[in-house]
Amino acid sequence: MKTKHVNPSPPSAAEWMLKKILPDGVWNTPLGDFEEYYRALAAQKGILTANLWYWKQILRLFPGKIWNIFIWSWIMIKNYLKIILRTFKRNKGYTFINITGLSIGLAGCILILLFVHSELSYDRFHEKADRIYRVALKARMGTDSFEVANTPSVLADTLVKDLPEVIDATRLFRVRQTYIKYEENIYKEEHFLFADPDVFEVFDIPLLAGDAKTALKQPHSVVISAAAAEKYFATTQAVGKVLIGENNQSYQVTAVAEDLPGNSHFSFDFLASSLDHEPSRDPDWITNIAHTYVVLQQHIPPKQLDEKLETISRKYIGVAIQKDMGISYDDYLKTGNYFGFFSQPLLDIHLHSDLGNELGANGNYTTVVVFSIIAVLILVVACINFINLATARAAKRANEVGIRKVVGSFRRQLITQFLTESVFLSGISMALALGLVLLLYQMLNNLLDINVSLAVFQTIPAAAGLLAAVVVIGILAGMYPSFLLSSFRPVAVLKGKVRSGIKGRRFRNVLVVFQFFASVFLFIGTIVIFNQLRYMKNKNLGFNKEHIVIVDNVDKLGSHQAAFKNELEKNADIRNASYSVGLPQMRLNAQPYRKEGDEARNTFILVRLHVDIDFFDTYGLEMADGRSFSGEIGSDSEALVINQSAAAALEFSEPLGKRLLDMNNEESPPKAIIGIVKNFHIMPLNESIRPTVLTLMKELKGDYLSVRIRPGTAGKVLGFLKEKWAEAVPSQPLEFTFFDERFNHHYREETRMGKLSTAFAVLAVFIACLGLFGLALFMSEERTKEIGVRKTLGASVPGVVFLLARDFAKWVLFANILAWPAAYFAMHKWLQNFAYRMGLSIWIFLVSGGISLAIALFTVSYQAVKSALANPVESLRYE
Amino acid sequence: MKYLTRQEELILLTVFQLKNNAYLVTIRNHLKQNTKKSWSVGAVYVPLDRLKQRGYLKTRIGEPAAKRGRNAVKYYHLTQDGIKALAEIKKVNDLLWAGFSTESISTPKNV
Repeated sequence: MKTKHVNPSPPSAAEWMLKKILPDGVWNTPLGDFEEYYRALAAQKGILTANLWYWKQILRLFPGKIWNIFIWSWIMIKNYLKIILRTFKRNKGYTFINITGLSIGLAGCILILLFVHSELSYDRFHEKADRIYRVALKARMGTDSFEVANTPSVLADTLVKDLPEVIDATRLFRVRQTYIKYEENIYKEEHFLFADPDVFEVFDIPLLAGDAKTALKQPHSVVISAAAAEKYFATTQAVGKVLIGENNQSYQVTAVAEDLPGNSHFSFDFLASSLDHEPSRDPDWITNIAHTYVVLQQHIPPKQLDEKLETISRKYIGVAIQKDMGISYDDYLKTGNYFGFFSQPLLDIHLHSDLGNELGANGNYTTVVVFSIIAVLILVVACINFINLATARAAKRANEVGIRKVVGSFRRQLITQFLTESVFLSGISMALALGLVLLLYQMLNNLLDINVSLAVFQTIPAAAGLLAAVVVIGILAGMYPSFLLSSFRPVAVLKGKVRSGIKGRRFRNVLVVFQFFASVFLFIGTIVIFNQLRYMKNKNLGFNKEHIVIVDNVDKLGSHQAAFKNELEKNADIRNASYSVGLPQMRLNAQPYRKEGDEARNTFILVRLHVDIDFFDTYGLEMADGRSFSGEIGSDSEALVINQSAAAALEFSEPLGKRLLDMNNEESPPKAIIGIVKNFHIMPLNESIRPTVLTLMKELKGDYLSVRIRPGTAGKVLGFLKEKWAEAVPSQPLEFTFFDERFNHHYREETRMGKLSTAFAVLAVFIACLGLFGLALFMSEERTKEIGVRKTLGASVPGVVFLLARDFAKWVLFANILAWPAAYFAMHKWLQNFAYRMGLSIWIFLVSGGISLAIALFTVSYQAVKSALANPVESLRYE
Repeated sequence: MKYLTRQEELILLTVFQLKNNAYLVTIRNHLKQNTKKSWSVGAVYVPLDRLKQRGYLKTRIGEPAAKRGRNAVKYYHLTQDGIKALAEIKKVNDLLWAGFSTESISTPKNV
């Protein structure tokens, strides 16, 4: 049945569109015309025809409408641009201040964001990145706990075999450094890894030549990076060449890989087959040497992996514990101890992981967050300048607004005009900022010792982001001023009733306070960071770190270590020399020990340093009790020296003479304690002094030689060392460092933070002062007449300067009062990262307050003095 | 006086014919009936607007009607100028049309 529509009406969507398309204010009669037609048509030919007709009308109206919008917007924008350029020309000073402040702020912000972006992008280039996990080890024994990134060699195969979720597992083995020879050239290589053949199935390592499937299948094969290929062969066509590694092991190059991007948590120049690495076949569950990575099936929650890892720990580590300690895994856990595996998502490794034995230096998530906050602060401070100057000068433009309104401008159009102006300004600033970034990013890379590239700008999202930033910043900065300016009533304005600078004064003060709040906050942060750095560098470590040269790779001397040391001791400029395995202030391994005859089999984790008899003299360690190792007493090779902290932890009533058992080497006889050394900082200063044991090398087999020299003889001694080294090890150059340089290198992250916060504190203060300068300029212009009158009535120049400066000083002081507690809490929290830290003295706050006030007053007083010195005749004559 | 276009002339005449009931819908229907051609909405609106600007037409807003979805109607009326313009056209037309009939026209044979 055909339904009869008594009152058909046009589709509501179509009607709404028609309303939008028709010019403002005239739509209601045409709409009626259309509807009447529609009804007639519907009655005559059916509703479908009528609907079609109605829609067709709308389609026909579209092109004209769009053209109209385009034409009129263009005309308006052209007009806005003309006005903007005129305004800029007339107010060169303010425009300059605005653009300078904003572009410097933007440049700083972009530089930081580049850094943040690079930190956040780590390891994302692997196709399976979201499914790759690293398995690591967590242990707690007594009061000591540690987490390490490496795991037993057998773990990878076990995981694939036991867990259905794990598709693939691969291992990397790090070699600290090695020497590679090709023909006559020998180079020291620090990025040498052994890898399982299936490493290419887990990670995306693009090859320039060679086949990923077979590259590492055979022993004696190695994949080298393009950089290494260039270095050794001056070409990347290196497949088939043969390199000689340590112990005359030859490696055939089977593939050349593209250099991994900088944002990878591990890097390599040499990737050798794990078949050549003996420890990779170690079946032991207690020795941790492999970095194990697994690929999970799709959509497996990480929690599930962790749960499975717990069963793996129970099953395999449990057996080892049973064997070692005679108790079950559960009993072991009950004692409060722990030893087991856990997983880390690959994407979290760079920013969220700080385990022992990482493959490379990782970033720090807090740093990234802090830097991002600083970036936003800088940008806000820069935007505030724009808002402040625009509102302060509102009255100057009030006449323009008044006239525009009188001749028929809508408020919306005025807002659009002012917003266009601020977007235009932010566009210019962005262009300048990009130029600055181009100039400065290399400097930032050097300063922070990072590798940020500008390649990201070539991507479409980044370009779109910058454009969006221009618009958003323009609108945010221009919003308040444009609403304020467009709100003027034309009658009041044209009668001259709107007084300059009154509007938005309170708002402006709030913003100035915020600017100086941010500046003072960064100031205090900078001072605290540098104080802490200086504190750590100058802290009494319990040993003498000055005038010590460290010779690396002394294991190359082989059996000649004693002879080499004897040679050195003949030189009068060398006071002492001592071999050791590891050095103080390095992250040293800790070993489990047990007291002899202890029924409860309690474990103590002691940091162990293997030394020779001269170690105590070389580092200037002091004994608290007993004696240090002696060359005359043969039994000393079976003796121990512990530090005070170990003495306290072990809870011996009389430690001297008591004996400890090395649990990793239970066959060896227990060793007697012969001395207690005064506590010294064996680990970096973020850690407290841990219980430590020093053992004596039976024969000299150190990996470092510490040489204490007479002050001021460094050049002479180094020449001597080189000469003697060349005689002993002709194949390799001498490698040395100064202990205090190594020491400073530990605080790289903190030094970096310090430098960056200095740079941005200065930037924030500069931008804030730029704004203040603009405000002062404006205020003194505003008060020209007042100053003239005051001077005529006998005010002195200092009095007038004081009058003008007081206004600003008040708010800067207020900002200080707000910033102090905020900075106190933030920096107090930061200092908690350090076991040894300096206190937050009141002077830091007073000094930064004083500096900020001085800078602000200096900025303001230039204008204040200038207007105070002006002849009152000049300022009063024009009426 | 500027000449009107053919469209404008026809629309002006239609407004004259429709007396007090000349608005877009009636004008367009009337034109369609008499010319047997399709007139688009725009083809009527635009000349109407132009004639109004020239002062030949004036408008009156009527009552909203249900059949128009409660929208008001805009009626068009001739002004004195409009009437004068029509008279002028008629005068010229009469002069130029004088003696016209299809039979009275003969074309020279050689052409």
